[in-house]
Amino acid sequence: MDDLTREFLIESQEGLDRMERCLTDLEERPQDKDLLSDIFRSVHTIKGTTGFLGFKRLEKLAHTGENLLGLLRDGKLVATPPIITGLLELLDGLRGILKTVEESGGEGEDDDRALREKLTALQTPEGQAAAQETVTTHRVAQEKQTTPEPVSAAVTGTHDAAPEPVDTMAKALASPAASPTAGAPQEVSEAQKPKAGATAATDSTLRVDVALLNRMMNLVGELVLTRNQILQATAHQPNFTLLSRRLDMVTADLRESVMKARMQPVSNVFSKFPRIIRDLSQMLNRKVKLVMEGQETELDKTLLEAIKDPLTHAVRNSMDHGIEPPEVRVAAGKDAEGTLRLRAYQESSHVMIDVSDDGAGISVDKVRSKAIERGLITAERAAQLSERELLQLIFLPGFSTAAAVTNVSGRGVGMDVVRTNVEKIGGKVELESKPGQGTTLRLRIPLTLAIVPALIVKSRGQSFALPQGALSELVHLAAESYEKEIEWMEGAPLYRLRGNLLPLVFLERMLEQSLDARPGRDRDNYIAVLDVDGRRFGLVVDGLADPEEIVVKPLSTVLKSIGLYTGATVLGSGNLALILDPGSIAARAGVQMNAQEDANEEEQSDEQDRGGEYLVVEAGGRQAAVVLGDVLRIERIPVSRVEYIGYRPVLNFEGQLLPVEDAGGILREAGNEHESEERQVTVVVCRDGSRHVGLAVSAVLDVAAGSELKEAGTNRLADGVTLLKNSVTSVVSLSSVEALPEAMAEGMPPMMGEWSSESAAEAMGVGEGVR
Amino acid sequence: MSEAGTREAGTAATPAKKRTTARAKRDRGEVLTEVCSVQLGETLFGVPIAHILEIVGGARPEQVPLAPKFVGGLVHYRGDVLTTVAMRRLLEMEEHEVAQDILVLEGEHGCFGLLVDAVGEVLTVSSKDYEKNPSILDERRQELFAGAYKLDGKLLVMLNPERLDPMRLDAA
Repeated sequence: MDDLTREFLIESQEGLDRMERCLTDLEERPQDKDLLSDIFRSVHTIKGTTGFLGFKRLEKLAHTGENLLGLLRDGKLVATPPIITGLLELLDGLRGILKTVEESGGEGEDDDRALREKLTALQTPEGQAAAQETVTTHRVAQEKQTTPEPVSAAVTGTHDAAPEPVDTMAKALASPAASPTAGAPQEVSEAQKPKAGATAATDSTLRVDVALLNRMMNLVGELVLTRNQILQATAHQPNFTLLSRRLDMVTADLRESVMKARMQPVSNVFSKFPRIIRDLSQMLNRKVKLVMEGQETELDKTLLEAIKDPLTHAVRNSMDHGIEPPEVRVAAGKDAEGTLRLRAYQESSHVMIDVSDDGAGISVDKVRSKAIERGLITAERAAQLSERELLQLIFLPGFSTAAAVTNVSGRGVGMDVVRTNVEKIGGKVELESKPGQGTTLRLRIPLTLAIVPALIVKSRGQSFALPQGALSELVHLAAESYEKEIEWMEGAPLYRLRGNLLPLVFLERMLEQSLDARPGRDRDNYIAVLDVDGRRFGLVVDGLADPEEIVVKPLSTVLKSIGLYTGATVLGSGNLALILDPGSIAARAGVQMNAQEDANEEEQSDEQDRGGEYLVVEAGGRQAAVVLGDVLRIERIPVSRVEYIGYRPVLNFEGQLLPVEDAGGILREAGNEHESEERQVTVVVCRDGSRHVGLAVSAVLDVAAGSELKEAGTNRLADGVTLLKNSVTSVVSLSSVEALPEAMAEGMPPMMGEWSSESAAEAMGVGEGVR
Repeated sequence: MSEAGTREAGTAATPAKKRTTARAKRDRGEVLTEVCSVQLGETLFGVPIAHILEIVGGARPEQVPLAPKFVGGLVHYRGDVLTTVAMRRLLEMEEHEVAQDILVLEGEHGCFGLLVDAVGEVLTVSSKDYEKNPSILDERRQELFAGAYKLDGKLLVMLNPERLDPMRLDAA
């Protein structure tokens, strides 16, 4: 295929995508001139180029479509549902031919005669009598209110004979396929306003081959690795500090820019849903309103491609199983029209996409009986499962609750495909359903594939990377407490984590690095508590290194087929590390969903809104709580690394300044002991909005679920405190940690804000008071 | 060690002599091949240099637990992670703990590395001296070897680069 044809294909595809979006919009605003001329332009461009390239079949079809669109654009016709359907068929026809061109280079057999005839028929009053009458009268009614154009005269002239103008117009407005707002006067006037700047973006953009972007991303990944190595190598050489810091910054900026270049708004995927919903609602006899939010949210192009199918599955499922037919809805006291909501938003390093409907929800009982019937689970096991676990069953391959297999869904290949596809790209699928009220499916997608934060763990001297997404906490297990704290149930190692038994997996045994039945007895161990789709277990490793941002490199097929590794990466030290796949480790170790643990979590998730989980810390002899979701990491650092800007303690982390809150006076105290320069302090690094702050604490005690407290009498929620393990504990307010001065050049020591050491200590002291 | 000896010999008189004889025979319609030689234990192996992308010296591959036995580990190569095949493990020879050389070969499914003790000289061999694998070789070696060239006083055993691809080895 020559370059010209390829260029033409890409351009036409874009044009047709735009046309599709416009067509579905047109259904709601049939009078919108901008939309009409936009559609006209797309088809016209295709026609023009095809003539030039000699694609006769395409040209003929495009030409027929253009004739119809010309009439629409000039206001001689109004886009009625039959016309829109015709235009959608035209769109599919054009796409079909383009696909043939792409695959074979030729345009294939001409079999569009029927379509062309239909499109021609739609242009004439005979072929479209009823619709045409409506059009005319509508036009007439409108022209009387607005300034007449020469065209309008002609139109009114031609179709003056229309029998019952007012009546037909009313019919058109009431026709079921038309959106309720179509034709409403304010809508029309709004729609007719030309939209400025719609095409202005084209001049400043450039089309770039995705392969080139991929290559750039790889190179940036290499640069990140090299930077990591340089930072480690030059950490103790003062004359390199400035240079390496600059390298660090430039690399970070470059990485961000390249990543941004690969980003596309989710609207690229969302835009096809109005059409799907339209077709499905006709096919399934549903009335559905599609609401889309956050279309501007951006996602890496490869990821966007990867979620296309899962999203379509999810939407189809909602349409087929979720939203009930209108009569059922009315009988249930709901609006006859169901709502399907697609919502995209960013949450820290993930993009969430919610597909929610206000349909029937998922019946847990039905799920249970279906799963038993299909032999996916035994009746005894099913009886033990919690509701939440039962809901998870719908993700099993071969599961379907649909009574009948329809064209749309019900073959039982839906949800497990959704889940596997999303997990393949490092995402997660969550499901919430309330019977009678609806279902929400939440896809949690990482922002980028190539670079992930990971904890580096060690096993028998070898480093492995553990993606932080699955990591929920780390437990240190001293050598002397090994015998006491690890309990064995007939060879199965267990650990009591806050009273619950946590199954353990010894990494060295899993990897067959040692055949010891009870490995690691005589050394310190760490338990990385992992949570993979509701399966919780502890991975026992013999060492931890710093968390790093790792660049994922693919493995050869031979090594991928081992199943435990998702890739490899080059560490800052220059060594290679294999990236562990927590899901496969859980599966290989036979870790099942733990009902009890799950029940706890359920409780916790109910509290999440207000209560949630907290990191319990001790500072200056008092307990305080930090919202766990805000905690990024916990660092042990020598006191000597703390520097001061004025009175403000700060830490220099990878070239970035981190303000440290020393509420408990730990730094002050540690700093005074001059003789012990090696004295370590613990800093909890937290996220507060977009900035990071550190809290100096004397010890990190635990992670616990808090519950909300209400003020006696007023029943108002109490702010800043929570109930942890039956004692009232204050929650550290991160936002009150004072920001660093904006311009250092001013050189003035910053004022102590309201969150002074004293008041902080007081706030933290609440816990002590009650204890 | 033997590899050091081979390398020294590369600059000495032997190859020059061989090249002149090779050139003399070209008139009689013989095909000359350039082969990278590798000494491993008592055998001199050869890989046609047309198959070699690069030779990486002094590598210490990262081991991969649970990998098939012939996998010599992973190395970082030009921004990618390269799977290596350890010749010693493949031929069930005793392993060495020293840094090794890696021949980067291009396979059907991407590049892979061939982990050897040390790379020796590049030899030019003539099709006249070529013989197919003898039938008494065991099955595994029949697969891996692609005949031999008769040199002065020793044999140069040719390796079949396509057969060394980890994908092929894994399937076997």
